[in-house]
Amino acid sequence: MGNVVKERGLVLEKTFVAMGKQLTQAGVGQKVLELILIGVVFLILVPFLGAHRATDFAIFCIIVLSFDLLYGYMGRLSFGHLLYVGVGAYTVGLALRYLTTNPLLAIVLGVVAACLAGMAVGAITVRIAGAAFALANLAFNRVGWFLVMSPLKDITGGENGLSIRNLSFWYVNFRNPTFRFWFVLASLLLVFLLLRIFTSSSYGVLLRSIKEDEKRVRFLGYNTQLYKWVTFVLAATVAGFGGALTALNYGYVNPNTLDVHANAGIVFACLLGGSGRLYGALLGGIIYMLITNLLPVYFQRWEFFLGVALLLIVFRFRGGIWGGLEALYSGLAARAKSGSSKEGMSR
Amino acid sequence: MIYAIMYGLTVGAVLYLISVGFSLTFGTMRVINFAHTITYTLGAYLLIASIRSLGVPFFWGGAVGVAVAALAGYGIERFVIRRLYGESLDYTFIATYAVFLIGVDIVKWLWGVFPKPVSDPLGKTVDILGFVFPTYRLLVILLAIVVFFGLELFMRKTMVGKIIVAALDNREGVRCLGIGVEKYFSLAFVLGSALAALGGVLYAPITAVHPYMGSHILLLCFAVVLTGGLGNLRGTFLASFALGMLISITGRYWPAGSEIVAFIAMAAVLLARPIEA
Amino acid sequence: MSLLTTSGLTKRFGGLVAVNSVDLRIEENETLGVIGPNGSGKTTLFNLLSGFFPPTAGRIFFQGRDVTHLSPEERVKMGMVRTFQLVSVFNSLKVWENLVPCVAWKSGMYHSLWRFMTTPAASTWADSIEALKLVGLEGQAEAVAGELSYGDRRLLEIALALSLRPKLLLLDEPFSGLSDVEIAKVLALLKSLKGKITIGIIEHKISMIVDFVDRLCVMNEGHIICEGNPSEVLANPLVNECYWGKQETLERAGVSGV
Repeated sequence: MGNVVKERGLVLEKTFVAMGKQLTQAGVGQKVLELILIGVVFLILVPFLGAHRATDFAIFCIIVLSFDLLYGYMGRLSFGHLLYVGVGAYTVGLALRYLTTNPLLAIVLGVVAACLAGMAVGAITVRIAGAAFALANLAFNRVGWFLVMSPLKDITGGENGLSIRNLSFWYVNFRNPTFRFWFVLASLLLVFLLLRIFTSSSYGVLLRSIKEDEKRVRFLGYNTQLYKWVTFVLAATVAGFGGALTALNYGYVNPNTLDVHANAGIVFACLLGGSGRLYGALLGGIIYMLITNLLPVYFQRWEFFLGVALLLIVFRFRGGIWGGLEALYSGLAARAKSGSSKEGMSR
Repeated sequence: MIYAIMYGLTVGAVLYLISVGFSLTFGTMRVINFAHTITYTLGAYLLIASIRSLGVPFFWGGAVGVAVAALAGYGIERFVIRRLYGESLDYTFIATYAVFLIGVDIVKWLWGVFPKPVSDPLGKTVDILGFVFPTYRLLVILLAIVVFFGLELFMRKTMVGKIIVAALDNREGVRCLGIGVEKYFSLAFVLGSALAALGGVLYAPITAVHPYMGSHILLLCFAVVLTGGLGNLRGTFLASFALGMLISITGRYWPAGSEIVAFIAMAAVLLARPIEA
Repeated sequence: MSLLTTSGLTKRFGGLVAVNSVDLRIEENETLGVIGPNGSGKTTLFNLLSGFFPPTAGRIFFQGRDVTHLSPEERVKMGMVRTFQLVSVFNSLKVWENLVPCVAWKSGMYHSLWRFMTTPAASTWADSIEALKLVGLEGQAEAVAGELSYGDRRLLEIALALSLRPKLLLLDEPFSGLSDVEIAKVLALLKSLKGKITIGIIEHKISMIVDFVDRLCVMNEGHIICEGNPSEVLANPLVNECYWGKQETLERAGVSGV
């Protein structure tokens, strides 16, 4: 009996050691450098925006990153991604109200709930091809919104939302904006690191293959439904994490967190930065938040602006800002190369 | 109960009128036109605007609404959808969503954000077997049925209709015939937009007219089209009334869940029959 | 025992019978050519064999196991791998990245999702290059696949297929759209494989494969009308008639046409 437990312990230990090894394998230095760089960018933002807004930016970036995994890497456009943000946020709100006083436990619960919701919805929608996938997810998002607004009104507070009182526990104090900022920044870096590892793995290449030609991937021996589902669930889980952080950052949850029309904002941020590139998602997230934070105070026709901007991107700037930078860089590199070779010839 | 059925039939009729165009573009090109229902919204608003500010009668107001909305539909097809032909369908979806956003904002800008009521243009009721029905609703149902049979005739008797039916059946096949199908799709598109606007005009006196009414009903259309079967016009007809009935009857016993049932039905259909490319 | 057999395999599209009760068999390690005019049902037959769509009737046995209703990926796992008439590789990926899923698949890495998701793709580099060497593309490993010539992309597609270690390799018109030089390259590659694995190859120009295959099957209007070793088949008047058309048969017989 004791032996079995011991053996299991050993197996677990081995798995963890293996996990650790893989996480820290090749390119450790580069990854650390990237993380430091992202951290510095957000620290620079703090004096201009204040810690609370910078926190908001970082959370939005987490959500855009999760969306980019689904759309940018796997090529599956969802217009219902906020459902998982909402599930994460509401679970945290409800858990802190009825179940626990520990915000960390609430976050875990929120992430698990979003994961489960993603598993259930994903099982249905992942099998849908083409743009219908986007709309089917939108429909589920709407069902979620509707559930919060009326049938579950008594516990979710309907339109008024839900305020969270238990924000501090032990050393974890979400009332303190500085703590929130550091906590969220650490979360963002963790999410980025994980996605960085996933997208540069063989699985990441498989996702890009599915994006280009799913049928062909099946003829390479992969059950694409499974991998699409796994990716969907992963994206939902990370989005749920973002939602959980949103709830703690504001201290309340309202139905706007899963408003179906706000999905356009995520899609826009992802395309603006450049889809299929993690840095593009980060950049898009920050720029989108800058636009929404600085403009609408004086700006009435926000939807009009968003619509025109989306059309421009679709017709003219598919690569987004990061894609543009990449093209510029490779253009310059090519010019430098041909320049130097010409010099060599003239000599 | 009889009244619930009556209401269900009315909702079904309106859903049918709006879904036809959506079904045509989805069935022939697999394009999801998110801007489809902006013509529906536009139809309703133009009706109200022309009644209120020009003082024209309901019929002419409706005609103006349908005509202008059809024109808008043509513009969307010509300048957005056709330019993205043969590219990733996701881009078309995003672009039409952008058009939807622009449309909604224009509506808000012109007419404000608050719901607008219109009164029943007939105001009369009919007495059938002791039940009192508003004549207007009966007319709406009748009109949907007329449109259905009109479309059936159109699809069967005219060349354009035949090509569209063939395209619904087999997209690549028709293209192989060397027919410039785009022209016909464009026509089907305008037709669909006009019908959606007609739906908006007819529904305006029954429901509240507000800028987001389009996105709300679009999801129901999607549910209708999926339930009825892709590119199946008769299926769309039946599914509209079935879902209309489902919504109305659920609404009677569980008002909060009236919309959810439509999506549950949709999810069930999707589970049984996923959409493969 | 034959590697692959079909019995009464039939596929209908609406009113058209594209493949009509075909009984095909492919022996272990032989090279079988399937020829026939355009629209004779060759590609449909391969689509049925590889699981692209299910047959209307009939059964398919691979190594004695009924695979009629298995999905494409399950057939690949059993060792049935195919290429497509229009070259189909992943154009947006780099050449070596194209091979990553295949190499990862072969090494069984996908059995552990966590390992699959966390091991850097670069760790498959050596194996990918190994697979590219087989077709002579190792020099272009870092290029984007979409920028290769059509012939090189064909070679890349064959490399993809070979890296899955197939028992049966189904090639759908591997020479179509290729220049003479490229054809020679592909043909040399296929000849080096002959006898090592089982190959099924579709072609509509007989001359291309006649001295390369062990056995020929001729299809016309969904039926296999004739099969046997190449010289036998070519001597069959029925084949000439359906393949070259009546007109040409007459011309060959010395009757001048038009």
